Amino acid sequence: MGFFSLRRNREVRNEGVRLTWGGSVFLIGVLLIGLTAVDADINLLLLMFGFCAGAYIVNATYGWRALRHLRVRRVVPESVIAGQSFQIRYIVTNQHRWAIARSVVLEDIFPGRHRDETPQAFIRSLRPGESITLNVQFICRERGRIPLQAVRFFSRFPFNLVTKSVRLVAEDELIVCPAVGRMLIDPTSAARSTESSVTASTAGRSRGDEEYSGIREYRHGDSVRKIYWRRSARTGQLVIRETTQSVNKQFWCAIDTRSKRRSQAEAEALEKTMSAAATFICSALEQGASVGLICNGDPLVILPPGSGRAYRPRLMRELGLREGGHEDSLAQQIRRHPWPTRWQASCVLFSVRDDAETRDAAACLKRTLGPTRCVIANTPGFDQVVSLSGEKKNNVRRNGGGKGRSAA
Amino acid sequence: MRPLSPLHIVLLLLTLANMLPAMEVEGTWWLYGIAIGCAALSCLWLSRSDGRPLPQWVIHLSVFASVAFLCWEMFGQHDEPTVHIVDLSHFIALLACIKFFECVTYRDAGLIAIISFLLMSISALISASPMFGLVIALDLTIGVGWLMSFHAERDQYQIETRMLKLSGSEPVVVSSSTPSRKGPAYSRAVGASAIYLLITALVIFVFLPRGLYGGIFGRMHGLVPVSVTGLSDVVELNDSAVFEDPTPVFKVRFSKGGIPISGEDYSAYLRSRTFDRYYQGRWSGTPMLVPRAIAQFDPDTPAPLIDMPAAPALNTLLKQEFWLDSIGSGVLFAVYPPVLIDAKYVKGLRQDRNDFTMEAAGIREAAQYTVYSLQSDAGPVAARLRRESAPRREFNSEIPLRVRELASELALRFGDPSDAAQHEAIARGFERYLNSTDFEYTLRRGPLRKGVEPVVDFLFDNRRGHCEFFATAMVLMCQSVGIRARLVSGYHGGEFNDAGGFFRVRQKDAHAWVEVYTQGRGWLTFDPTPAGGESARRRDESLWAQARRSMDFLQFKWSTWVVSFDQESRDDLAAGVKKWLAKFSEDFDERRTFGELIKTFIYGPDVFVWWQRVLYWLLLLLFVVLVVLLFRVLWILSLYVRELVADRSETQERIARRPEARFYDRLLLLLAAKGHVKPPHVTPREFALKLSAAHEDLRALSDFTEWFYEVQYGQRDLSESRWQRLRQFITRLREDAAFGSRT
Repeated sequence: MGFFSLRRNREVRNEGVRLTWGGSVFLIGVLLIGLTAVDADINLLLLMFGFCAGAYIVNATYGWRALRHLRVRRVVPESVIAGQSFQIRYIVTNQHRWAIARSVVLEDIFPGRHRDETPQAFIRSLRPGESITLNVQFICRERGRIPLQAVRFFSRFPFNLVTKSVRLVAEDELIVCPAVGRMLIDPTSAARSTESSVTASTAGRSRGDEEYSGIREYRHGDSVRKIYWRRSARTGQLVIRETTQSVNKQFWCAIDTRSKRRSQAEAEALEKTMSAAATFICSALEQGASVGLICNGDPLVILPPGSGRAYRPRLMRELGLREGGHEDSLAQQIRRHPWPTRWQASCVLFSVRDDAETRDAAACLKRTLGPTRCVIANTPGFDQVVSLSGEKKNNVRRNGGGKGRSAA
Repeated sequence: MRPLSPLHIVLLLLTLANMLPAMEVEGTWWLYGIAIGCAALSCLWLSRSDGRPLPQWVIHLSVFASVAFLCWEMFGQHDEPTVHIVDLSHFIALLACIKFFECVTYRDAGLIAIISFLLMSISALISASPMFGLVIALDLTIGVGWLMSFHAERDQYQIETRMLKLSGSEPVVVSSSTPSRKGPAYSRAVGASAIYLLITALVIFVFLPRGLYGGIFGRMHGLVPVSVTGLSDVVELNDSAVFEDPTPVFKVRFSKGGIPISGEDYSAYLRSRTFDRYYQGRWSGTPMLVPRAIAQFDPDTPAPLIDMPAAPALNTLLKQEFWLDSIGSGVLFAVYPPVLIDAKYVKGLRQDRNDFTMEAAGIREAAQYTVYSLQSDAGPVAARLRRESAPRREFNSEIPLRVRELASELALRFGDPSDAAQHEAIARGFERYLNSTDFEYTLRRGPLRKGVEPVVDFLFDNRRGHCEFFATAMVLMCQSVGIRARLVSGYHGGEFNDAGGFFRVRQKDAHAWVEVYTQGRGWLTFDPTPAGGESARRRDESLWAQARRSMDFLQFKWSTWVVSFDQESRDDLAAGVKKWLAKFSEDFDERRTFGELIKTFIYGPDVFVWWQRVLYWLLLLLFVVLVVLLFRVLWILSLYVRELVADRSETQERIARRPEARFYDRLLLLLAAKGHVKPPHVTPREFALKLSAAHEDLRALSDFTEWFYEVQYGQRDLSESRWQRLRQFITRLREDAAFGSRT
């Protein structure tokens, strides 16, 4: 900004000054001191009142320049997994020529979330022209799209009596994919209509025909033996070596997302369904299979079968963004769509409801694509196929593997 | 907060400092000793017990003991309500002592800070000593620093705790473009905050409304030091300490028969006012000043102050030449009895025909006058004087019974009070009695006992006081046995200036003495104040005495500038500023308000015609621009100075980059804009290798880095072809959005 420039920066919005809790309590004391001082006409009390009231003025005005000249660049991952910690990187620069920013709190604004549940970081001091990179670990518990619009900087420096804050426009988007659990059965066998067992899924690994395919973050349920310790130590985050089996198979993951808009129970069931589907897709892709996705709603989503690491984010992103609260029939939508014969493969249908519509969809999928297995949320069969929390793993194993419900 | 961290230690020291004024008021130093002991013991305890606080039952027991102490102090020791506030401060101090032992968390530290603040508030209510100012100064420097550090650490701790709870990991500062330095920058912030706060507080202090007190608390300052002056209209006996004010009052030169009187030993009693009515510790005079027509015998001789047929011979009179300083009073000083005056520069002379005190209606600053006083009680002038100055007023002083009894007893020892001829002898006897070693001269006599007459306290209990106590006692003793006596205030002594041959008289030379009327000789001067005490003290030039005088000066200034600052002081301050501003405007009028003055300054003088006014405004604008430019220049200069005084590492870092090698910084900036930020721990070569391997477009970066090494460390210059290649690369990097991003 030039010397006489009156240009207003539209990226920065001044949110003003407000009293802190401590400042409010202290204000009562200050007013009492002021009243006593005026009543008693005691100069030392008046002086004391001057210092106390002055502290508010100093607190409200000191450091504004630097605060208004802070700029931030946010680096967020394209998509993150619900329930798993991820890193948001903030590069903060003090663009003022001489003012030092001190005791500044950076707070990302997540719409619809309480301030205590948003990423925050503390900057002790930032000199003119200095940049600082802050890495904040964070966890999103819910799936969906989080539009990130702004970042707030606030400071209570130096006396913590008032908070002054500015809001900086920093538009971004965070896609939270459904939480990924652990398949209790081999995904390839889950996609078949016949029964499968855990021993079958582990047999391949024990034979040693796995191929190294890359590195990914550690997820709950992963084998500790797969942790890549050297890389984990370097990055500060647990990562594992990802391996794929040489399986040349093709599967479909179909999701019936019909649910009532205001039903809490169905919303929870939908989340479970999505998580189960995500778990299935991840497991299948890790085993080298090609997976396609069908998801009803407006519009109907059909992602043709694909494989490899690059394909997973695409599928997960779609799962993260799908919403329930509609009554579009999956069977009808499938029937309206032409299906090439090369797409025919085994299919797993994940559904929120256990009703005739679901059965109709399963039958339709079986006719159109191939053998279809139905996994319905909140049924005993669901817990035998997918474990979304670690505690159930051993119990399920003791029960002798999962058994889903097959379509007729 | 970690126990025994710098934050913790500074907090304890600050709290101990804030206790000082409250403890000083009642002299409860033993309680302060307890506080220091608790602070030291708590440090020991917390260090030995790994930060564990005292067991809860010990804390509860201590609090209970403190409450018991408060009840005992409030109901068992004192009965005055104002003392309860002091008791409360003792209780709060004890609470702080207990809290020292469990100062572990940030919350504990905050509570101790609040306790410290409460103690400061109570000190402000009950204390008037400069100790309060010293503690404020301490709070403003170390306290502000501690507060800033405390809040920063607490904020950081809270955020880290919250993020740990939310995600299982604290926010991490990965890199910073410059290393963080806490020292000088932090000190600057503390200093700036403190100065800003001080200025704001003083502005609020000056402009707050005054004189609105309803009296719920009343004025609680009892021991404000005062400066005794020989000019005031009343004399009051109270327990305030007397400050030796070095403010000059006048210069005087004595001569007799044309021969100057000089030397340290000469000291005259220069009268200003007399008082003959005493009532409950307060003297008041009944001056009957009437205008004195100056009827000079001839233009070259001074005017008479009493009616006399012919002027006495000047060589028999004591000549006093006065040069008054700005004293704000019309009083004219003279040795008793003044008979002639030469007052060319004095207007509106008035005189009391009974006690021969004089006043002038209009005295300019640094006025000069000469007065002649009679030195002998023989001759016609003296006889006329005795007739004119015979006491005519009724004695209506309220004399305490014990004083009457003592005076009667002593008078019988020295003579017969009913015999007027023996009055002088009796007065001499009273003077000797008070001059005896039973009484001590002091400027700090300590507090009066409540409900006790000051003169009774002086004569029978305390037996210590300054000149006003001695003179009061003698006048009341004389009056109680029927001797006409009055208290005289004025100046006595002074500092002789060898070069100028004059005495420099200051406020600290103010004195009170006694005049007694005797039948044969008229009014005679008596001084019951022990001469040794005062003169010996004044001659004390030891280091300790000088230090004590400096402390007195500090205390006096604190009292006059801060404790006694009132509406009048503020008006004086405003008048001073107004006067200063008025220097800018020639047509200044005293009656104009402050706002009008500013308006005049901006509008310009009224006599201007339009084109002159436009020129005036242009000039004003030029002046403003010049001021702005001056600030700008000062700012740039400060940048240079800052660069010069910057620490070694920073300077080296800045000097290290050769101008020819700055292309590398440009490259780094452009690469950072494309998302390739060079981490501080990576060398330029490693960075270039990594980027050139990952991005096809950036393969040339390795060459550029080598060139950078050559230029920067090999002190070589780039050839023109290399510059050209480099420029092309930079241009492409800047203008092509996709360039450098392709893998």
